[in-house]
Amino acid sequence: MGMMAEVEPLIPALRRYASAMVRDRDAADDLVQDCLERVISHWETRRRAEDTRQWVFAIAHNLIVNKLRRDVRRGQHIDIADVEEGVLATPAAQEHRVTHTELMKALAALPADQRSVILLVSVEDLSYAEAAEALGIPIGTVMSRLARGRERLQRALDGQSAPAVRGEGAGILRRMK
Amino acid sequence: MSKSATPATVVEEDLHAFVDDALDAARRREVQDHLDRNPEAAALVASLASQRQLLRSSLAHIADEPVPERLNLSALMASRRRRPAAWAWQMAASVVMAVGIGAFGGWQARGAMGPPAGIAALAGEARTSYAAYSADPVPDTGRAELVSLVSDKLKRPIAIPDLSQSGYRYAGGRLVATGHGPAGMFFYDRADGTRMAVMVRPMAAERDAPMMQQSSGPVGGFTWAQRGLGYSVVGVEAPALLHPVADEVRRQSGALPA
Repeated sequence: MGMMAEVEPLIPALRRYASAMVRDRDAADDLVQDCLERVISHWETRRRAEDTRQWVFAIAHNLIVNKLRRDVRRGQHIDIADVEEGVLATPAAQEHRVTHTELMKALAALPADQRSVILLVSVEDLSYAEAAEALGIPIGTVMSRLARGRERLQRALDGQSAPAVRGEGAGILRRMK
Repeated sequence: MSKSATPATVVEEDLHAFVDDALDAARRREVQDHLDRNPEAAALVASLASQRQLLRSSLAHIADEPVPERLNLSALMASRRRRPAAWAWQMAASVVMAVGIGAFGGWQARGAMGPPAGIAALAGEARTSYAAYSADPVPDTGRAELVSLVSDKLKRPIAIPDLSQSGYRYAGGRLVATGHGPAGMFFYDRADGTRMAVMVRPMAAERDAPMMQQSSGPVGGFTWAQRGLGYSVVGVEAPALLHPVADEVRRQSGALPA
């Protein structure tokens, strides 16, 4: 299959992933553009056996991580403690509807490595093995980041400040009724 | 097959894998049995599933939007095909200018307004060539073949520096034209895809010069000359990252026969 047929259908998902990772929509599209330019220039040199979607997401992910690091160096990062406080102050716990903004804030409060695993698996439907390849980490790390990240995200969405009791997911159960 | 062994204990990872539909049919049934008997685990699974659904529904609209014009793949491919031609034209123009200055500007050539010479000229050539070629796929000339081609053109033994210890994989190289004759250009990629290059050519003016840092826009690097050969390490990375690479290139080239 040619590049057009294989890569073009991935662009909406790349935009979604980049947006959820960096929050700023323009910066996210800059990253996707950068990613597509690299896909075009490296298309002939990619490993043939490699799954295209996994390969493209790996390139996007590396660019995103580089950008997040640059932002931290330039002091443009959002202080995670501040964000967490903001998330905790939202009334999300009272009413069960979580707005898009609240969700994005809660996502942003996660460490980037947990956020990326959650998004690739839950939203972009990469298998654990594909996510491991795209992120260049062992599959066991994918699973542990997924578990820790989801628990932390749920705490943020619940607006609960106390650390959840590990093991039986007591923190997550709180809202279940 | 009958159920001979007792099913493996259901752990937290199984609950996530259940929600992500990542279990094979047999294990899925075992986890389902566990959930039927274990309301707390079932509640956790329900919570994980609803979080997953919340993420998907909240982010779905981004993927449903029309893709902006600048992310149009055909347009990006077309502009990439046009770019090398534009660069080639600019390169040709700068060569013509350099030749013009040489031909009728001789009487003022060494004045303050003259073109840069020595390693300053090399630094500029390296930046221009980097900008022109770094986005292109490198020609697949074999390493040995390239070494002999470049050594032949430069009339000096040239080695391709090995920068794997510095985290850069050799990606290929080419012969490029500069205002001061042919030069060898070798490209290296870091694991994240960032590309940098090493340019080398003989030096007529400054045969030995200490390392100098230069930058112009996003492209910068380090240039020096030793025993009649000039080197420039160029890329888009921070000077702090390129400096040790330049030191390593200098160390390796110092071992070459003069």
